[in-house]
Amino acid sequence: MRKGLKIAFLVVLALCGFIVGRLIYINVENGETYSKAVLSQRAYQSRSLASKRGAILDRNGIILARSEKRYNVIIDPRQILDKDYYIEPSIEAMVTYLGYDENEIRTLIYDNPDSSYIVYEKDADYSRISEYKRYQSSKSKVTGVWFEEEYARIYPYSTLASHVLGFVNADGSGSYGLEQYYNDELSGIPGLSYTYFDNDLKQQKTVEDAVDGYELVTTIDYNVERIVEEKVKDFLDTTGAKNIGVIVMDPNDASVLAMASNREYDLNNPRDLEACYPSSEVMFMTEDEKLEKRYRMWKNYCISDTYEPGSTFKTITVASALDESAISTEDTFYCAGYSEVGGWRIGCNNKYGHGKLSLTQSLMKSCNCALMEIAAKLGKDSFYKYQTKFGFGAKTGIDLPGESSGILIPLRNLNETELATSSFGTTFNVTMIQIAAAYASIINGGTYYQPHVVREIRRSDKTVVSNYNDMGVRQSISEGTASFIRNSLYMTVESGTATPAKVEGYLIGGKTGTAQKRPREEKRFVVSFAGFAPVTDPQVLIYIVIDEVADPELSSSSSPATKLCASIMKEILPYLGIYPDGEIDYHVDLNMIADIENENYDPFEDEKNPFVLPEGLDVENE
Amino acid sequence: MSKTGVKQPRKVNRVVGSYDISLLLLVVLLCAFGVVMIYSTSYYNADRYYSESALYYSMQIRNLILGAGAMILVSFVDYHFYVRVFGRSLKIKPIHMFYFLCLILQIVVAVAGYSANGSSRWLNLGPLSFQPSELTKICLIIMSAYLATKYKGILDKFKGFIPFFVAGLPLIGLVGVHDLSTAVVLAAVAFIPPIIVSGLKRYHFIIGGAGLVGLIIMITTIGYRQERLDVWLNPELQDPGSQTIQGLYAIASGGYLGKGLGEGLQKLGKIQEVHTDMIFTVVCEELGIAGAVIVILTFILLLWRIYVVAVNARDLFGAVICTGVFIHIAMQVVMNLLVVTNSIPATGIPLPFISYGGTSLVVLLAEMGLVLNVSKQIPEEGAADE
Repeated sequence: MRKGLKIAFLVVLALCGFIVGRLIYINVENGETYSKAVLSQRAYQSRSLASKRGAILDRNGIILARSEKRYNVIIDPRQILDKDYYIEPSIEAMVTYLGYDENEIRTLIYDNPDSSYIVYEKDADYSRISEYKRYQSSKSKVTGVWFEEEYARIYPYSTLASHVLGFVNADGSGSYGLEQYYNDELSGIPGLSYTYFDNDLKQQKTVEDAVDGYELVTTIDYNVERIVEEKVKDFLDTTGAKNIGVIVMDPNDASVLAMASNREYDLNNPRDLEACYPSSEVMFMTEDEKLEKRYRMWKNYCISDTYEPGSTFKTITVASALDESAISTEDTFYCAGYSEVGGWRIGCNNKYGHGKLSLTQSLMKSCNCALMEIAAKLGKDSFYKYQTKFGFGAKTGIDLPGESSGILIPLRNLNETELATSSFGTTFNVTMIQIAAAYASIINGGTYYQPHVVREIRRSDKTVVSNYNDMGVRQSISEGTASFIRNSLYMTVESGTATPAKVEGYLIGGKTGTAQKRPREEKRFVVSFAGFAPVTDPQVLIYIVIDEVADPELSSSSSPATKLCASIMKEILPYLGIYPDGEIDYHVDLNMIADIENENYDPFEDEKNPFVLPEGLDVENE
Repeated sequence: MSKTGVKQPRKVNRVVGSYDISLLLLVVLLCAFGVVMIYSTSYYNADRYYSESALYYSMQIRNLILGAGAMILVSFVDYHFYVRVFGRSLKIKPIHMFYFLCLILQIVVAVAGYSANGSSRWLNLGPLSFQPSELTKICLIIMSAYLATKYKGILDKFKGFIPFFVAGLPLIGLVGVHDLSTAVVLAAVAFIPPIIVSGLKRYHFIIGGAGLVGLIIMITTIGYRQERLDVWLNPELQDPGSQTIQGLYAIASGGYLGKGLGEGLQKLGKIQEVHTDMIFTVVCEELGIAGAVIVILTFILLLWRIYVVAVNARDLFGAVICTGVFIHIAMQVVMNLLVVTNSIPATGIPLPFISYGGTSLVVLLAEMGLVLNVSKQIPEEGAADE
């Protein structure tokens, strides 16, 4: 039997050897993953900690959107019921320090014995919370109440720049505007708090702090935006229109100073339609209608809507032809009131004809016939090339969501007639931001900049993450061409079709536009005006589009747009540090008309007034 | 002593007329370690469910005192007492009384036992509840030794196996209905000693083969055992709450040196039965492979001491008793460790001396008492063999 027992012992030894082998195998094979599994199971009470969404500032540091800490009170009945001696002190503390109703709390606790997370109060004020916390920290039997931090998004100026800013949804993600476009940058990284029981049965908390989101410094100027919105509102109150869009831009880098429309909504309450519709109307809307109206309300007219630009585009056609040397500045054109193109008879805005026109005059008087002739000289290939060079037919890349690209007539369909109608801005669609960016490039001396709203992204400690100060994309036209166009546009305001845009004491340049909407029989118009100041050293570009002016007397006239521009200019120029001087008009007036034939001649070169034109001498070098 | 069948016993480590002290020390060591591990593994659950973190710990100490008493008592009783008739007037042997006591208890527990862990194994006797199946183990060990001595002449024939079969089957069958793994241990302590005594014969293979087939049929046909098979084959694909995968998490996160005594995380509500059947997983988690190997070595030393006592025993009866105890401890240690390492399908077998459990501990210590008594009666050198 000794042999048998020995065999049994050896079998046991072998099995023990096998088991030790298994232990080593399990550790080597699964050690890492299983160890993690153990830890992840431990984090069974993990909570996400909200990160602070970055603020949005205007170009001077004024806060347009910020996040504010709010506290939610969480009750944990399971924890309170865990030990009999917790119950009474915990309820008492809630009643005394948080001001809750005793019976209500008691019922809540006993009705939800297995729940560990009941949001009992949202947005509790901090003084009660800190009192409770102070009391609780000294009493070990008081437990079962947690405070959860949450951030609320505040827009101090509620409707200001609503389409630029956008809003934040309940889930913390941005919708529309910068809130959507820069959502990732603004959001930050949520933190995590794990609670677990250590070996002494004490609750241990490990906290991974949330990382604050980045701040956006925009190119928006609070005051300019405010003035623009006020003027738009005034216009709506006095005249009215279906849609109005206004873009104020610094032409020297295509940064947007203001962007407004007639449908600014309350960012603090973005679903409220009453911000832009009368409450009597809202009351009778169906849910579907409300939804549709909300989408319309949130849509940024300045970048999402397309329309035929009309005569404001003539500037682009002339600039293209000059730059391509298809025409020269001393060329003259003849207008008989209409032109025959490809079998069509296309009329001019003056049906009696403008007669003989210089190049500048054809812009001043906004002559269709001259423009058709210029486009024909330029040819369809070059015309199309410049359209794309100026950014039409493609998104500008502005840092806002929902941008449209507009629709150009494709090159293969750009026949004689289409070329003719395109020359004065009809039969193709653009967005406001495209026109504004194209104008900026002409005005600044020929550099096309990508339009943008954000100047700088920075951390909450003000260190810069990235900046967008140099957004130059390409040269659109030469400096010489740009200079000529600037002067012509000055003449247009001074004594052409855009005289209502004049602001006393300033050199304003600009071009009007009136486009008849389709179907043409309905006689509905989109009127527009692109103006800039001062002509000698352009600092501001304003582009205004008014869709269907409500007053039938004015509906086909560009004067509502030019007047609106003048009223805005008058207030924002002094604000931007550009002061009026009455003398300029006189001097410039004389120089301009006489010497337009010299392309490189600058009418302001002889200007001696240091107060008016401190940088005027550098026009050539812009 | 040639009649013991132990031919020319070698005189190794012979202790004459006194207890095998090293065996006693090993038992004390394992029990002390068990109490420490029970505290480490159970305080969390004890506090959570009974608001008294030392509950299992103090209960196990009580069990240990009871068990120590049983061990001392048994160690003083000459082991031949169990197979001697009481006297002329009462011609009955204690082993027979013990056997029928176990049989009655098994029947009672089968009919009226209350349920714990899905199978009814427990008998409630006032303040004490105990498992008759544990008592049955020691009963079958003595019975098997008694029968092996009685029928030693015919053990190498199939005929010699029949008494073991007849004696063992009722008890094993009654346990096996509810608790297959304990039945396997019982079958081992009842049937392996005669095989060891006689040496392997051809008929043993037939019996072993038949037993194995029966076992496989039982495992594969009964519902919850099928589930356990699935867990065994793919522990990670199953319900993450299963104790198998949680036990493996514990083992794998221990590394070579462990997290330190008391530092384990898996005992905090994750492993079911952590202070009983799954206690070894926490040994691995807290003390690492190093600690686990030391525990396994301690068991091997203990078995070796029992082996030494067995081969030097005064007579065949004593030797077979030790063999039965050896088989009992070896079976449970190996089965428990195979289960916790997921080498075989999960089944409820406690780790001897270390797992929490009153009846189990008292019975094991009583068995140690038996072995100690056998060790005390080892004859002096020279006198051992004629």
